[in-house]
Amino acid sequence: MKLHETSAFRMAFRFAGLFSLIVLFALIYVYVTTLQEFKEQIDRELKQEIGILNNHYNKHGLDSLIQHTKNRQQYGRHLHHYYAVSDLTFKHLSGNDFLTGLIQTNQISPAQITFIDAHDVEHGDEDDNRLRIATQLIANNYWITTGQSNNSIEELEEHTFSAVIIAILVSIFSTMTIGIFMSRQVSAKTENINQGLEKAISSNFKQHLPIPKNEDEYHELTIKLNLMLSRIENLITGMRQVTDNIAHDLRSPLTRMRNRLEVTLLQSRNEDEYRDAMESAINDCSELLKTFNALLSITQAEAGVKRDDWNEIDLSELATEMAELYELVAEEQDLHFQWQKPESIKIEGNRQLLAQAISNLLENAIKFTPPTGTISLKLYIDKNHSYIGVCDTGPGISDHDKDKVIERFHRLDNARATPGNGLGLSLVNAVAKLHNGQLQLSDNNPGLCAYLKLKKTQ
Amino acid sequence: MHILVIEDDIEAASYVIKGLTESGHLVHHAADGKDGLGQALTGDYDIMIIDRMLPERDGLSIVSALRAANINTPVLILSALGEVDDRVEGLKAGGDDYLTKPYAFSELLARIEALSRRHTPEQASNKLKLADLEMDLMKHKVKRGGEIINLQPREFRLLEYLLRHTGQVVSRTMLLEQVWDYNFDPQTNVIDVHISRLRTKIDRGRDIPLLHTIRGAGYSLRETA
Repeated sequence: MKLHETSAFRMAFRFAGLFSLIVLFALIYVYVTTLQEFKEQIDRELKQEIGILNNHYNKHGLDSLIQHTKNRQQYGRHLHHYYAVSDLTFKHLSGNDFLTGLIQTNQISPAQITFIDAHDVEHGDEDDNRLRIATQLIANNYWITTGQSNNSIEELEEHTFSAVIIAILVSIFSTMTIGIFMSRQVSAKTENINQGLEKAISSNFKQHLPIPKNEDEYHELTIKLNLMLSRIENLITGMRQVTDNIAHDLRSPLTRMRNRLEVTLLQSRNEDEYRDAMESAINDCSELLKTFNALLSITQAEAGVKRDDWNEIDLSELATEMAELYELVAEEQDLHFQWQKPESIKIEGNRQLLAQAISNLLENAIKFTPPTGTISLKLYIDKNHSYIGVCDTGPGISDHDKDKVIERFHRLDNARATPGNGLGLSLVNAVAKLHNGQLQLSDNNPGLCAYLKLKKTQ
Repeated sequence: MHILVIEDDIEAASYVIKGLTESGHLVHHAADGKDGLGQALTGDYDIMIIDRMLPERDGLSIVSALRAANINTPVLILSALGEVDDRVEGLKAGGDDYLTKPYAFSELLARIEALSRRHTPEQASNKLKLADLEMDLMKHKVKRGGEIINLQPREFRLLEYLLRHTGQVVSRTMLLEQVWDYNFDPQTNVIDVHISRLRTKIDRGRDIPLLHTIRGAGYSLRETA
């Protein structure tokens, strides 16, 4: 991805714009107030000057005033000050005559000090062609006028303006530079993640992201993404396994059914034979339906059934019911069935799913335990968990196979000859997980113990 | 019986209709929810079979609307594979029974016959009777030919259910649901074992067996084979 397309860059860009705007407003404010203050300063000086001259006239008279203005103009400090004295009819008496000309052409009030801005004044000094002038009528006889160069304001204006431009340029430049630098840094990190994800996707989620060294938010993000990738990988593997297994385990009964029907059609038969063939086809279908339903139950248990189906369940009652249901089946297979009802153990759960899980464990035990063996349904609690399970004296499951039997459709070699679809323990496992528990398989020496370990309800 | 089938899958519906018609029922079909509700409100049916997912109007809302209109015809709700199997929700909406696709036709048939029976008001009698088999619900006693038969509590409930559905075929899953209150498919012959224990108690040594196995469908309690 190009740098200018990254969100970090766009953010830096917006930030630079905003920052420059703020700088611009701040500088305009400084500029306006400084100029204002400067003008007021000049007006104060002019007013003060008029006051001094007025006093001088009152004390020493006109001739002395004229002399005084000349003196003041010659002092260095007053180099850019101009003075003029004229009578009531604006007849120039002394000082800079262009001032008298200016007050003559402007409207002035005899009652108070009048300030005038004069531009392009021609008096031989190019630098001082802009003047601020103050004039006042003193003793109702003479206009005394004083002026001061305004060019410094112009200079100030020019300087401040260029300062503002430079400041804005600098701020745009610096924020952009910092922005680009920062967005480079950020987009390098996101780019790493992006490339990693691309690799993960193209490798079917087998490859994971390299974890960055710095423990920042990207570190955290990467770890979470990796967790997600492993989850996806597991799901994909699981799904592939299921699909493979469905293909294998459902194809054979379907093929068998098809063959049976085809063979039946090969020659004409009597009604009973047709009926037999159709009935066995229906039986095959029923088995297939059972497999589908079992798969559906697992999917539902794994997806997490709506909790409004959950109730408080007394495991002791439930187990007693299951014992009653299966005791006869066990006895018919010449197996000893053991069950001792403990005191009530209550948990929150889905009664149907828990019953089905226990039934699957009991059916497995009955199926795999040879005659005269013993099957015991057990229920007990420890500090944090309830355990409900079934122990048998059958062939057991080797440690190597214990993980495998939980997988969908997985059937151990010695189970291939027995009826079943290899989904029983998968469902038990899914139900256990749904109830925040797990399926534990252990050796009964001889035989197998399969327990649902369920967290106690608080 | 007069049956209304509301099902949008025409092929599935045609099999159901054919099967039900051949089993001696009069069947009407509606292919979407709106039409279905219209027919259900105006027609006089004994049973309705309503698919949960329908175009125009979903099955559960049809059932609720019927119940709101005070029409109490028994309803069997069908729900498809892959949908959340929310039996509780279906029954709460006013359905009387719930069947998840894919299902066996024999199962559907058995269930609607059971539903129709449930719908006919039962006699206020405390006794159920078939031939010389008698069940006294008050005293919790069962006699055959005057001879007392001792039954376990669950066997009693099993026989009670069979007696209440005398002459009908009841499937294994129906028995597991109604007598034990579980709705899963057991992989073993657990129901058969209980039935055979009950059969030993009521039929052994009798001239006329009452408890019959119906191949591919379930069981039936009746006098004639």
